[in-house]
Formats: sequence, C-alpha cells, structure tokens
Amino acid sequence: MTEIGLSYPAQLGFADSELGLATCERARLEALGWPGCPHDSLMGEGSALVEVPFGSRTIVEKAPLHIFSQPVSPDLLGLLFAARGRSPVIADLVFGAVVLEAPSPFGGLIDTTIPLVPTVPKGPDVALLSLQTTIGPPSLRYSERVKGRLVTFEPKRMLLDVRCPRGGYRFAASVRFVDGTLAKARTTVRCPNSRRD
Amino acid sequence: MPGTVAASAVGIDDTGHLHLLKAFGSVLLEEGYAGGTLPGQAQVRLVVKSSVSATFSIAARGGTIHGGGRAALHSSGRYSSFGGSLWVSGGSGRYAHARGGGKLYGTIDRRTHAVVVQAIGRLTY
Repeated sequence: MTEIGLSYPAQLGFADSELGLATCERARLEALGWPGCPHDSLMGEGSALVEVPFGSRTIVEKAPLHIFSQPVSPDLLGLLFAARGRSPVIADLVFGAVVLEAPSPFGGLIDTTIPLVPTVPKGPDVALLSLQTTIGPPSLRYSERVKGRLVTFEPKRMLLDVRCPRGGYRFAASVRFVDGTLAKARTTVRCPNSRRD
Repeated sequence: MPGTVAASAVGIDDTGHLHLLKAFGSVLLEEGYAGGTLPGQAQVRLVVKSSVSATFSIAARGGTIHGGGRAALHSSGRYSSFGGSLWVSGGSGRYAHARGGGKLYGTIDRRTHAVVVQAIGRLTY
C-alpha cells in the first residue's frame, strides 16, 4: 500500500475530543522512537502487517503500531503512524496523515501516505500489507498538573453525535497500491435503536 | 437631506472570553462577554474540522450584530489556535444594516473548551 484514504461521518466529534493534547514532531519520532514523544500526544494503537526481505526470501511480520498527533502543517491537522517490527527483522516504519475536507455526508478525510522503505540494493522494499488501529483506546490515559500534583485522567474520545443520520453513519475507504491500482470500499454503521434521527 | 440617517463607520477590535454551552459532533456552542470597541454578550457557533468555521451574534448596546467567519488551524495540541477572516452580515436595532469584515483569531483550550476569540476589522451601520 502506498496511500490510504479514510472518510469518516460528519457526526464524529473532533470538536470536543481531548485526544492529542500534545504533539510529536516527526523528526523526534524517527530519531527517538515512540518513547521520545510526549505521552499526551498518543492518540491510538494497533498493529501492522509488514512484508520484509529476510535472507533469500520475504517474510510477513506483525508489528505494533502507535498513532500520535503531530503539529499542524501547513494549516492541516496531522497524525503520525509508527510501526515497530522487532522479530525476526527489525523494521521501523513512520508515516504521516493529514485531515482534509470531504464532501457531505462525510465530515473529513484522513489521507495517509505510506513511504516505500528500501532494504538491500536491488532488493524489495518493506511493504505495508494491512493496518488495524483504534483511535482513543480504552486504556489511554493522560496526565496534567493540578495544584502542583500530577494527576492521571482519561481523555474524552471522539464521540458520535447522539442524532444519528438517516441510514446510519457512513464511512468510505480507498487504498492505492505500489502498482498504481486503487481499491475502494464503503460501509454504513446502522443507527443504534436509541439514536435514530 | 431630511429623513436620511448618516451611516456610521467604526474600527473594531474586540476580544471575547467564551465558555462552552454545548458540544456535539464537530460543533462547539460558546458564549461569553466580548470587550473592546463594540462590547457585548457574544454567542458563537464553531464548527471544528480540518478548518474552523464560525457564526456569531453580539448583543451590543443598541442592537445585535450577526456574522460569520472562516479560519485555518495554526496549531493543535491542548491549545488549538486559528486565524482567518470574518464578515458582518446584518443585525437588529441600530445595527439593522450593519456590514463589515476583518480578521478573526482564536484559541480553543481543548481540555476546558474555553475559547478566546479576537475580531479586528471595520463595521458600517
């Protein structure tokens, strides 16, 4: 994969979410790994399936993935994805995403560009095969100073508006591959019985 | 000429300190006092996506002023700042024919949802 686009519903609450109360610069993440990022910049976690050359063959490795808030640039909200494969091959992958406008019924588009990571000369690149992420996982905790004391709290996630649109919450995704082909998909999450508009 | 009223023009430099009334989806409803050249109680509806759009009303002495704005995000993290342009589209009372425009700047504290917004421009009414 070289590019992933995810369109999310207009009812998804970016406005009052507390995710990403700090930001992490890409250079810092690449130099120090995710321990180098401010903890309050962590927004999500998941895993990535990565294909890497190993000797005379290629292997598929599952790597843990973390998502961070990155500084706005230029005038666009951004995310940083960091996958960290450790066994049997050390393979680190850092790539960014920006939040763009999207036509109705979507609230925005998260546009992710995945770099081709070279390995050995004339050898295959590290390839991202699949991605699974949770933004705002239940285990996420931030901290702040209250009256001089460090206090841990659970940041408010991105909540869906209680008024569910007719037909449900709409999502769309597109994936572009290194050979130039494009795959698209759409899905609708039905309204919970208590939320129909 | 008899029966006509001269239009007034005034430079605007107002700063509002707003608190959250309600949040849903991408929308923040805020209100608070705006002080400056045209002071009054302000209500602002912010739609926060990859950019920020706003509609506002200010209950000033003699009438209410309505308008809108659009701004780009300049920073994220706990304090999200934005900057762009605003316009005045009308009003009531002495501001019934209000028109104008200028610059809009603001900061959202994403922990408390307190908003500080500054409007600089020109108003005719």
